[in-house]
Amino acid sequence: MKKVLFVAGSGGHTAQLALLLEQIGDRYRTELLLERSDHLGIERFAPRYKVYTACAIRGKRESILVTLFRVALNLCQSLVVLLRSNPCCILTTGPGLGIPICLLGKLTGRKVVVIESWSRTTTRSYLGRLLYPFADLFIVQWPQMLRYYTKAKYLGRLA
Amino acid sequence: MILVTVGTTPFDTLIEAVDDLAPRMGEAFLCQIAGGRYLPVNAPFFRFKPTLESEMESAELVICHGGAGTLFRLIKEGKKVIAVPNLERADKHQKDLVDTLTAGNHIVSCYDLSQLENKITCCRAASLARYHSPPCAIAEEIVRFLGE
Repeated sequence: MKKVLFVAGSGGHTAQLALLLEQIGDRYRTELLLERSDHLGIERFAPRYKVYTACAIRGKRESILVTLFRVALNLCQSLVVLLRSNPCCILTTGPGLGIPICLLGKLTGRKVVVIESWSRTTTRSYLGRLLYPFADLFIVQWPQMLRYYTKAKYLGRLA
Repeated sequence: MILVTVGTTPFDTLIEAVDDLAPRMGEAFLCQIAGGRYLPVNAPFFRFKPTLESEMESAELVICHGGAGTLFRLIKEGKKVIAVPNLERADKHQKDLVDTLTAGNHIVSCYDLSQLENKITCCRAASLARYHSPPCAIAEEIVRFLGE
């Protein structure tokens, strides 16, 4: 069985992940990377799956310096998670939490799957913008998004 | 009863507007306020509940933030919804989904809280379209792509 690392931040991103895992979570050796402060998400998934955590990339209204520090910290945490989990594929439903680990995964020869959020109907997320050139499979949930991401796939919506 | 729900991120300006409106309209509101600092005095409130199932069911109309989870759930049931995008958040992505669902006639949107009373009247009179999920092959595609 292949090992897949699923990555999601809190709120709606975890909700989309949960819907996906209901369908395919048992097909793989599923492990998760969640946001450290997402207690609801960790409580929800920890009984069933191995859960790693890392800090969020963007807090609310904080300075660029703090964000840079977070990115550096997250990069280190993501690298440790990647080495410990050693998945053959990384799949993320966003948000920024998924960027470092997917880039590191790509650099080390793993497949990367990105699902742009269901709340992105006409504008792109940071995650989408940054990972689109690197993703092996890029999925959007609204057909209008295909004009930005011409090689992406629209296959319906998780809601 | 009109249910007001902000999801997980505080949205004090919405709660304040509702609190202001409640005595003037003589309407019964119930507010879910998350970690908000403003506590309404003219309407009962709570911060979080594991599920809002029963509150949503008994509500005649729901005023909510622009979070996808809340919106999709309500419009699938054909509830009357007024969505107020929370532009107090660091990112402004809620506008995106709210505009799309408004264009699809699934919800009524409210960008200006001084218009909330009008929007409630509009929403009551409007015949909104229930949302039906499109067929979804995302999981199948991932399985196909990853192989067994």
